[in-house]
Amino acid sequence: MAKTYQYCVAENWGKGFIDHVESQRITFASFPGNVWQVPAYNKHGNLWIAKVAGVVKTKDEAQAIVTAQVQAAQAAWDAQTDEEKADEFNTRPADITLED
Amino acid sequence: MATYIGTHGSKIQNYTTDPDNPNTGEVWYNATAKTLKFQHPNTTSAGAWSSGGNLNTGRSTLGTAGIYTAALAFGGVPAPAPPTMSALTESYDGISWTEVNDLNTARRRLEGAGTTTAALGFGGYNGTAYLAINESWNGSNWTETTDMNNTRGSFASAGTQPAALAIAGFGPPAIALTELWNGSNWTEVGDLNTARYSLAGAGISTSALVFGGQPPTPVTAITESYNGTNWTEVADLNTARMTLAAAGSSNTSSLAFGGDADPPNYANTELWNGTSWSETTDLSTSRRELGGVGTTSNALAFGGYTTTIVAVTEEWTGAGAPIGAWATGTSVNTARTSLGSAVQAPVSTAMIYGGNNPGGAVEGEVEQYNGSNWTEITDINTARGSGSGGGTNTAALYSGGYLGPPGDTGIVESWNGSSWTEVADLNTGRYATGGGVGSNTANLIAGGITTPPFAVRSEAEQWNGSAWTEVADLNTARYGTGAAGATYTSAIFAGGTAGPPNYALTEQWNGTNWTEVGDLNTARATIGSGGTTTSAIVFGGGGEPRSTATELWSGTSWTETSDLNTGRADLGDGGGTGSTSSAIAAAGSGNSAPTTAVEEWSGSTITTKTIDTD
Repeated sequence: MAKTYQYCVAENWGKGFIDHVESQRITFASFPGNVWQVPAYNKHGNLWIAKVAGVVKTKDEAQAIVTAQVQAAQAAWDAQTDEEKADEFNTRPADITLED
Repeated sequence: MATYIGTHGSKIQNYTTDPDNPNTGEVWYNATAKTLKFQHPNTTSAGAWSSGGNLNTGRSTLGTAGIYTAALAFGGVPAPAPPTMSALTESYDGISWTEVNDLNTARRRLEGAGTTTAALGFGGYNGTAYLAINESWNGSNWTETTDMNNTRGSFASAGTQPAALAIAGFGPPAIALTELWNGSNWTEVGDLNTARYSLAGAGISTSALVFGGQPPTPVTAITESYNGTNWTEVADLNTARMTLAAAGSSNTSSLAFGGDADPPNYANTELWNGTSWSETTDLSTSRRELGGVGTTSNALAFGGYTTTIVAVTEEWTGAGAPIGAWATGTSVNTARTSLGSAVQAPVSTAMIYGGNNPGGAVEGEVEQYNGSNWTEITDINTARGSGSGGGTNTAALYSGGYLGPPGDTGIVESWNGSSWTEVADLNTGRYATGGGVGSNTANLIAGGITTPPFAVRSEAEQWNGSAWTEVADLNTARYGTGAAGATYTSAIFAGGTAGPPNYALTEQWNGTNWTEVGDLNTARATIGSGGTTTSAIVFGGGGEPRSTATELWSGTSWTETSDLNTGRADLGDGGGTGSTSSAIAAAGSGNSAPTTAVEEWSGSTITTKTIDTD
């Protein structure tokens, strides 16, 4: 089955990382570990990855990076005191599953 | 019954084919196609988020105030576990965040109202207790002022520094209380219908909207509208959530973005039109506990929590922005780079002159455009490239330039519509100064290169029609800038270089001093440019491959818009010029060689649409 998304790792440097025209053209989504998702088989997605010097990852490689980040955040949450965990606003980080 | 002729004073025109150049808004009947048509401006159909400058210190559950080009972020937590309270305040200028003076009381889950010069920060949680504290910001410092009547955190706010609302929140427990700040005291006003916390709010003290939050558990989509007296429940959000952010000017115009459902985090953005919410373009980074300011046209999202605290900022531009575009024009006769040019709208009156070519060759040819063809006219007296162009096709100036080896010249020539006349030289002969700003009687150049020996310059000179006068230097010496301005007392110079890397910086000239203003989104040199200090355009630029990027200047910041079809550089000395509504990129340096290619910019494109009469 043809994939819908492609993934890369790129650090968001701020202004100009995703510009307005790029945002009008394609949909971007970021995940923990500086993992970025853009449409697969898409000229504008490919151009953006080149612009930000993104390191292309397979979906499985990207998932491993995201999962490691989530697990680290979950471990930090689990290490809190029971009182801290009981805070009304303190929710445990959830697992994230990337799409093909 | 009203008739079309009665309303508009004329009948609808009946054509067998569509007219060649209909005006925007014009309506006609195509008798061949048997359809009613009209000319419609192209605008963006949906808003979009783009990257803004990152916070210096990422934080969640922070207080906010301001608009998307002038915002404040204060308080919050910079680390999730264990949470530490922050008093940090940062100010955003449309490009980057700068640390300013801290809050008096470090805390999170607070709210804010107002602007970067007059704001309030109120309520919050200091790690042990919920607070009623209220601090006032005067543009430099926070000062404690009158507390709210009730402690609260994770609430919503709306309004300005002299007229703000504190709405609902966690007291504890969840409360429905609303308090109105009149500039000196808080007064209890109408309660929300549903007590809750972690909701978002937008608007002003007499017209506000709140949405989302909890309880009811796990999260709610409830929206309530305030008319200055009472809260009324209106249509729900499409996606129930809490810890979301908001922007908006009233109870009929709001934007909701981010948040979570305990979990997951959301990137969803929804637009409120006074009646219902509609889903629109998502944030790039889904997150909760973020900050938001602005309106439905231009908003800012910053900070928040993903699986960690983030510093990410995203800028929202709403639907309806004019769509500009580059279209292919007729090629010039002589390929060349670093040429001078003059143009006065429309671009069909453009003129180009001089230029460089490989091997140190310089050009003296002058060409005029009539919108269809380029015609060679009288050459400049001294063939050269990389001079500064400016003016119109009947009154132009070509200043300085590169003569080929050994180097620069201070020669200046003035065009009167039929011939070139040498006038007073520049005080500092140079080339690659960027486009000359102004006319052949009032002009400004700045920066550039002198050689031999090779030196990058910062000097600026003003031309009054008879002599050049040195004025204050650029703050940063550089060459290949893009310049815009109507006269020599009001200009901006953007980008350029002093040797790699290229600069993104922009300097504004007020007739006396240079001041750094908003950076380009893409650093580059030898760029095309045109316009004024409040409305300018830059395009193309050096590097491999050549840049196609086009940016528009609003007077405070640069925004990317539609790219050139073909990247090119060495336009910075005038090969590209015009305004945000009408510009031209003529010749220049392509990816492999000088080019004859021409592209024409239209800042607001239009298309013919058919009216559905069924």
